[in-house]
Amino acid sequence: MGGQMIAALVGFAVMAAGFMCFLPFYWLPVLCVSLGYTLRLTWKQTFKFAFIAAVLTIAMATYLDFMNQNLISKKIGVILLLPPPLVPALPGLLIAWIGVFFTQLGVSLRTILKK
Amino acid sequence: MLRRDILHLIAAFIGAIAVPVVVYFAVPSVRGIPRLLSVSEGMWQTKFPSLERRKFPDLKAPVDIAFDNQGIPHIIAQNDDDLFFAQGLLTAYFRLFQMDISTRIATGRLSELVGARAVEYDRFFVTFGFRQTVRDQSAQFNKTPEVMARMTPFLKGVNAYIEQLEYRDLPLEYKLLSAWPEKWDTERIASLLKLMTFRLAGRSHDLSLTRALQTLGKDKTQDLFPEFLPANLEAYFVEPTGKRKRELTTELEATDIHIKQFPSLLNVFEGNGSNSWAVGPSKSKTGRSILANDTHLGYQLPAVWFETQLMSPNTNVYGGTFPGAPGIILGFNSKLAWGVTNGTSDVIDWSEVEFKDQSSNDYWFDGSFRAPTVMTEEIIVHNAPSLPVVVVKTKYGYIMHRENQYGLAVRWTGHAASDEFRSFIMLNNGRSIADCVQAIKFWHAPIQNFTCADESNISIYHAGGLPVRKADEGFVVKPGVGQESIWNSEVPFEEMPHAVNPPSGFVFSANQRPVGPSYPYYMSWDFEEPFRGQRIRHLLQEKPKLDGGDLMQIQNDVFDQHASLALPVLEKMIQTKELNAQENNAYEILKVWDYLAHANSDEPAIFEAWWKNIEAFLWKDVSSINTKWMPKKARTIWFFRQLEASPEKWKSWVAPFENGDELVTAAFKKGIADLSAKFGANPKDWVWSKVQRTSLPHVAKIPGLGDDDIEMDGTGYSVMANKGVHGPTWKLVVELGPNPRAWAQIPGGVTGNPLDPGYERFVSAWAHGEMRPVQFWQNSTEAMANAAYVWRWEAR
Repeated sequence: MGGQMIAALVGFAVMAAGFMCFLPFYWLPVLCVSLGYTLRLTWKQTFKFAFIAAVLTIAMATYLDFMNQNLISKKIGVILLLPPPLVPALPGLLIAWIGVFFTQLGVSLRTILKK
Repeated sequence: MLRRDILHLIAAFIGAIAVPVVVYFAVPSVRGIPRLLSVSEGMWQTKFPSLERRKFPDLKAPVDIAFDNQGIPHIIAQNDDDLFFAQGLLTAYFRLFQMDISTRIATGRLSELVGARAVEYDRFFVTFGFRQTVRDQSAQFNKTPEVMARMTPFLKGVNAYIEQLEYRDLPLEYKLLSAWPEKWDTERIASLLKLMTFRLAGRSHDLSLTRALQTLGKDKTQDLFPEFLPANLEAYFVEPTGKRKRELTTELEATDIHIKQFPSLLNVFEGNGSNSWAVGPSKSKTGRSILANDTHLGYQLPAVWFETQLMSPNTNVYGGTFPGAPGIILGFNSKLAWGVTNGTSDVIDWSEVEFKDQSSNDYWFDGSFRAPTVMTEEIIVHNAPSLPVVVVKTKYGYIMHRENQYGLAVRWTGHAASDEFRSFIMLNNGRSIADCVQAIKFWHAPIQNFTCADESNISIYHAGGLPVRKADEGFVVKPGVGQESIWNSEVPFEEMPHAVNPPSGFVFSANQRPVGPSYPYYMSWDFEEPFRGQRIRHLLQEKPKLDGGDLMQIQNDVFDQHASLALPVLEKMIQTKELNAQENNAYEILKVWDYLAHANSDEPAIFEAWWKNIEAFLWKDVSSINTKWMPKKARTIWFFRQLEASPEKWKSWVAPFENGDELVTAAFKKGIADLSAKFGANPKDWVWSKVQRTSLPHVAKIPGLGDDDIEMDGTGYSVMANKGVHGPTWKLVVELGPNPRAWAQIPGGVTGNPLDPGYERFVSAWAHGEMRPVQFWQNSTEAMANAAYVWRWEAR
């Protein structure tokens, strides 16, 4: 169980890091399905890890925005009709949504394929 | 167990697949958002890719991009091919989205980017014949070797940049719109130039004048919209020559027009103008010519202009260009400086076309029905089905509207393919005003007043294709009967209004009528108001000698010439005893106004509110024809002078008011009420910058990517012609000499990246009237010694 948790933590950290630094967006669902398929995480475990990934992502987005004189949150906030501080939360929400549902899709696929 | 697994699968499937798929198809506008939010490649990637050191197979030799301490790029190449390749690449790097959207407007391709909301706009341009016009212009480019010598490498440069783009490097706007840039060809450049032609020469009030004739009658229409204003209200910049070939006052006749509904999308770019003047050696403190130019266009971000210097063994020129066009459009080199103002001569005519029957496109021409050219074009709409548009071209022009067996055709000088680009090439490399004159002989559309100066000479030419009209052409819609209904020639270049080294020692223009009634050809009844021209002439006459600093001061002059002419007349008429305490207070403020329209002053707001209501009361008949159409303000001033001299004669015009005094007083009271309702009762709160809000909207009107609240002086009728959404977008002053000195300014930065702090770099300085000293480097050694940083691109 401990090994599974460490693997999940590493997997989600890689996913968040990839989302933040180098991975094109469309790789995220693939990664999550793989994680779910391999580790068979429960909903609760998935929520926890997705939450961690989301927090990391929000922190990174906030940092990037800060480094850019908050121009991103200011301008995108106007476009999306959101208060600027909420703008860095958006990629966090995205990764949380993908993390939870695609991981669980992977878990389900494994269950069905193994039956 | 199995049931639990199935529920699990269903929940995961709905969350991961079903919901996104439903949203994808139900709300197409959100399709690009997940990728946009990606931290690794979406909107968080705010920097364009570095081009500091790159290799390009199309280069023949290394090219240096030397940025000065203002961030302005100076391109230094060892041959012209590399120079224009680098210009194309660099412009695309900084302004790709702006280039893209600007070249989609004229060809009716905006809907491809922004969806159904642009369809009517696209349909207008397609119906107006722009697609065929652009194809013809592109073919003309391709037939002209000296033009293609610049365009081919420029296009290669643009495409070299586009080809290497990845999603993360795309300008933000493409990510927001889920779009991708296309490769460029000569049609793109043709489209850019034709759009600018339409912006400057797409003005036509013939349809409104036709309606005015039908509803107000000939006499009143002629009084309201005369071809000429009294000479003391004009500011001609060319001494009248020749003899009028026809008497126009008898020709404004209502015509038997069957069309009931006129197209409504005209005059979308009303009011584009500019200021330009030059002082010769006799009038210059430096003993050499000095030129000033500020071009007035709609404000936008990124800035309309891209400022740069181009250096090669054959070329050394500095100035502004429209992003997407090679070379320099307006600027100077070591010997010659040039500037333009919009000519505003009438280059559009309308005809009513009779078709064979309701369904046929065959039209009447010289005694028989002829077959037109019919083209079926397609408007592609982002996230929606495409729309076919049938474009019909007759000898009277393109059919813009049809009712049963009648149609309305528009003919425009800009429809023809032409050689303006050759003018730019020759100006870029010109050495004297003689070269300037040779260059602008190629100029066709839009008609521009070209001001040119070399060290010792100055000139101004009203250049371009001015149709020679027959007696009854040009004013109103006319029935198309055949060849006699359309213009068949243009005024010879030598006969266009011009002045070279005039005795006054200066030349000037501000879009006003260039020459008086004795000029032999019909030009227009609809030039810009004469106020800026009057003021510039006055300021140039005021000092015996001027330098670059004086010319910059004139560019920043905020004296409202319109108010200075109107207020003395209105003050004689207003019945002050009818005013309440608040109105009296406001009137006292206005009475001592020095006519300077500063951002923090309240007088311009009071005057404008007053004037607006005067026009609303006085010209209500006219505004019922076209809400955006009024007699000239100078004509209104003329009217009040007439009214003052002969109140009984002009009494009927002010009805239902008893007399002019009553109208003027009522307009003042209404103006004050309007200001109070909007800004509160205290006149101190009627600050001009609040009443006339100045903003720089984004080029695609994407909210948040513009600058909405700028404090800026000036009115539409001061030399510093700030109208809030429109005004000076390029300012240049050049002192010619062995080492020319120049100052420039643009509202915006070099980069078009809204997420780059440099995006609005010069906006504040521009709004405060500050000019930047231009670093015009004579050679590459000087460039390298003075550059703040350098990018090097090498051949591969």
